[in-house]
Amino acid sequence: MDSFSADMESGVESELIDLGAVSITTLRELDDTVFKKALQHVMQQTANPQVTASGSEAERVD
Amino acid sequence: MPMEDHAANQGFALHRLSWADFDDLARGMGRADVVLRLRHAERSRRLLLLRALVEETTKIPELFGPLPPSDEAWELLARVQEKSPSALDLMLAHPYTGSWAGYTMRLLSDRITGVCPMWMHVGHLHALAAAAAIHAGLEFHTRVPLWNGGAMLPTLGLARLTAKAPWSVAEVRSELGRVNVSNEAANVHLPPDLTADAPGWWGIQRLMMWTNEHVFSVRLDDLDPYRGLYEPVLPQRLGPAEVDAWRALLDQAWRLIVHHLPDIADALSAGIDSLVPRPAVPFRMPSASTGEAFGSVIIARPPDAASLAATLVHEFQHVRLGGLLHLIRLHDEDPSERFYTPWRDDPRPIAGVLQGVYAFFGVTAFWRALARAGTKEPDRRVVFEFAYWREQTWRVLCVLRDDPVLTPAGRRLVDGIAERLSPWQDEPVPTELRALVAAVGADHYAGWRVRYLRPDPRTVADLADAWLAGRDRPATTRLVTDRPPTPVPDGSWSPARVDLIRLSVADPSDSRNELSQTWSSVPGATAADFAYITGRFTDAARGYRAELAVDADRPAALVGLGLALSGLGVAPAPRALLRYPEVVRAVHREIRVRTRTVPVLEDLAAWIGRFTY
Repeated sequence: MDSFSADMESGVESELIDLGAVSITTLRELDDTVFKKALQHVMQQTANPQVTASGSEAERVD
Repeated sequence: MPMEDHAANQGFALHRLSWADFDDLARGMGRADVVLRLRHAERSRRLLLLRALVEETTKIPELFGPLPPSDEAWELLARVQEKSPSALDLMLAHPYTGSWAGYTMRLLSDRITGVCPMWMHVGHLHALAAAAAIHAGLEFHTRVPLWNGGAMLPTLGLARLTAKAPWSVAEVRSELGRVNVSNEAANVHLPPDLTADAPGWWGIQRLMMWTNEHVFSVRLDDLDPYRGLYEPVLPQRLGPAEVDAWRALLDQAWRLIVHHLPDIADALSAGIDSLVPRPAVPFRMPSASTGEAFGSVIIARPPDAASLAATLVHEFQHVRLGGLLHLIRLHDEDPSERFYTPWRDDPRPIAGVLQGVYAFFGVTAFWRALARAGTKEPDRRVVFEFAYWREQTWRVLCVLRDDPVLTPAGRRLVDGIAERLSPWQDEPVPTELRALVAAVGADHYAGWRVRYLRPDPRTVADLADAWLAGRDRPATTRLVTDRPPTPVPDGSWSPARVDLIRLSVADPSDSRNELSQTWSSVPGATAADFAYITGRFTDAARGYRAELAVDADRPAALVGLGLALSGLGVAPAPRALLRYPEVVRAVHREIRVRTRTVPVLEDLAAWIGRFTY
């Protein structure tokens, strides 16, 4: 499943909800379906983090 | 503005990106507002991860071990937001809040312990809350993890206490305008200027670079445990001289970026706010970043400001593409390592290829701008780097753009890059430098083929049969293989020739004389490599033959022989050695095994190369 929807008019829409207007206190209480879906989406992303390393013959630099 | 819960009441808005913003990113343009939109999305992402982490750990209170439960940290963060929303935002924007949250979520999901006990990792939430509360000027009291005696307060610094155990707990107390960090053995008073060092305190330094009206401000973070790529790491404190060296390099690099790529300067400044300094690596420029630590770059100290500027642009490209990838899928999942890229010695999956093309597109833009600046003759090294990266990036882009795994958005991104990169291919470059670029490209590609491609065994057997029977090479034998590259290299590789070429390009005055003094300091360089770089192709061929007499399978010698013979104008052996070195080596091996004799490699290569075009 694609993680975004797109059309030529509007651009792309992610599955990430905008929490810019949500307080820390309220964040703890949120529980609806859209929120849970967004939560699940970022959890899935953490399973495969993007890491790029160059110039080191693929050696880790940390 | 007070925080309202309109999102809960009216439904959530989703983070969006207009096509104009998307295309701005694709073309490598530099609108800072687009980067700030990515930052805003990262803030939401990190809040979601914080919520997920607290939810997970609340179910199992013992996860916090000797530290307070997560509720206490959450309440402190809420107090921070109430008093100083910008202090909370600062902590959410901190790159290693993202990498810590991602790392710890993976530990929780996989039910494994990381570098430290689990309570140390989940308990880092208290360190984040404490640091945010210090920024906000709150009075508070909490406990934070202590790793080898160091209590990290992210974005601020490290309190150094004495502790017998590798993992323990420190108390942080802020009252009457003073902050103390203590345990049973020591007490550290944080200095008024937290960026300065004090007894028991290492402050994180912020370096500010100004050029005209453009400001670049980064934390030089050698302390945060989550600043690495994969696992938490201990502090690696820079000495004052190293900090000064970084400051001078960054100052000059920023000046170069502002003068030569003014359109992206403000976006780069908006995208990078933390630099993890690493020791210099001779002839290499290691640098790295992760999508989770949006805003952070890891860079080994470069030899000069131009190299640092190119690396900053390179990593900035990764940072913004990482932010975009958190919003949009640009390719389907495909972990198969099937692509050749000139910037890595190993086969790469599509995710890495896309990142590489975007990053080196930025690098090309930087060297191009530098090459075109001013009225005097441009620096040979600058023109070489421009010509090299434009050609190599274009080569990979042309393969990538037709790949079926790209999504429509991914294809649009690649098309956006191509729109700018394509016309650069025709810009004039001196013939001599073009030839060097072609030689470096052929060298690396042949080295990759000989180590990662396995020819069809039937082809190898047919060719060995024909050779041993004294027949012509069968014209119909197909040398191209449809087999994907193997992840296991057959032999090692040395980048010595390209290192030597870069040395010779950087010092055009009397490169042969200069190189005769320095070539042996290049790791892996041989006398044959030095002869090749200085145009003594007969000597080079003789040297590579001698290397192959010792080890007939050595990839760098096999390819080096092809390059030297090509320099002598010999044909058709170099065609086979440079285009199908894996076939030449496999047939050579087969004959050795069957006959227990060693055929002359050049003769075999010439025989195979006869019908090779």
